[in-house]
Amino acid sequence: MMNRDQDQYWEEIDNFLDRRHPADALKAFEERMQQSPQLAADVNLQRSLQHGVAYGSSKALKNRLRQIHQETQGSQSKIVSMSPKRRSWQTWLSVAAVLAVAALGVIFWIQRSGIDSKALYAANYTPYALNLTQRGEELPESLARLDASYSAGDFSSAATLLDQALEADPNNASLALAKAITSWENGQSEAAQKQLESLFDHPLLKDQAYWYAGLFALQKGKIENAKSYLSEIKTDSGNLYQRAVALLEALN
Amino acid sequence: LSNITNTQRLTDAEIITGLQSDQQRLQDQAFRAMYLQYFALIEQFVVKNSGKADDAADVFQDGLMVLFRKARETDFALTASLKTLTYAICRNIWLMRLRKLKRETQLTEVHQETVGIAASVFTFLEDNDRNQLVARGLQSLGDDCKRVLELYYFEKTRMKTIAQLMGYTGEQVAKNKKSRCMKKLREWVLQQPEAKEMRF
Repeated sequence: MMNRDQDQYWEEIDNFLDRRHPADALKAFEERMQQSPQLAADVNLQRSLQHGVAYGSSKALKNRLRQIHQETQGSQSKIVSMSPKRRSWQTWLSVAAVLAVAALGVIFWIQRSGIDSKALYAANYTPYALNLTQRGEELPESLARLDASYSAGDFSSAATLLDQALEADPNNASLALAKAITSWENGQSEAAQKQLESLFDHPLLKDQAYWYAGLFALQKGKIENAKSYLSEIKTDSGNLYQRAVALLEALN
Repeated sequence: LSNITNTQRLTDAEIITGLQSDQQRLQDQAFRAMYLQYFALIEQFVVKNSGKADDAADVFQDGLMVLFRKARETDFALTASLKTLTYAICRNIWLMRLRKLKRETQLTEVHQETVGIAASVFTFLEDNDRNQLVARGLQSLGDDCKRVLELYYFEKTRMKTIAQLMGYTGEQVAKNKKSRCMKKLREWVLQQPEAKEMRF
């Protein structure tokens, strides 16, 4: 078969598996499958490859979901299931331990004046808006791809493209800040923190760096660290300063 | 703070729109809403049926991945409430795990409605030899190929969007790239000695 014919052949199998065939075409395809063992075998092969690709691709999403789980469930209590028929002294001991932990949790909660740092993080966090456009000039292809991936929130593609862009332009602070955000979005919080720290002295982006360092600390429940970072944002920083002040008020 | 929590509560339609978005930020907003609105139900179900809180977290995360992919299918339509669909998906996942562990018993339901879910939507969650081999093949491809296949076959992203994300000049270029990458993957898998035993 010619390459183009082959592409069409596999495309048709994809369309069948993804239920994109109209009803009459679907029936015709199923009849062809019954008559051609080779087609039936290729459909099975393609189905297995699709499942395997999805399996291999699912880890990044699972990591994102784990992070969201921590954000949303971290401060909530867990359900404790006990069967009344099987209570023994061990069970009572477990209950006592759970109550003790819960009491400590309540004391800690009261001390924190009801601060839900993860909710504050969620309410304030939006990724840094990377602006790569250069007036009157078209972006080079690699930067255009980076721009598209980053602004679409596709941080796994953006990570690789940012590495390449930073290799070509290591002193570009906007790229470094975008890299910090990308690392954070990809679940690499330590790398994100280091990248932000490298910008704490930058004349233009230091406030943004402190802002995100504050938010990331909040997400991790490190309220004192968050306060310390947010306090570094100075009065002449406009909107960011106002937001930092509002956040500090909520934390104090 | 309660206001902040309230703003994260979304309607079924808003959550589905978030999951169908190509922006990770909007997808994550939908996932957060799912956690706030439905995780407690699934946790209750798993814990009442021989599971632990950690099992519930794992089941819910896998359920969200199934829901994410389902919502992004071209012919997706919500025929029951999102609560019922989520419950049905997570119930199936937990049932499959119990069967694997040979701990299947009469289930205690915590939500009465249900919908039928095709078994094939769960296949990508299985940690079996076939899936592992294809995943190894995927890793052996170049970054662009890997990403195009991930976007198309896992995230069910449309070709037009893949072209934009990857910086291709058009949809047809993205389609050709997907075909070439899948061909490479197919050839790689079929060349592996263990592929025959796995009857690909």
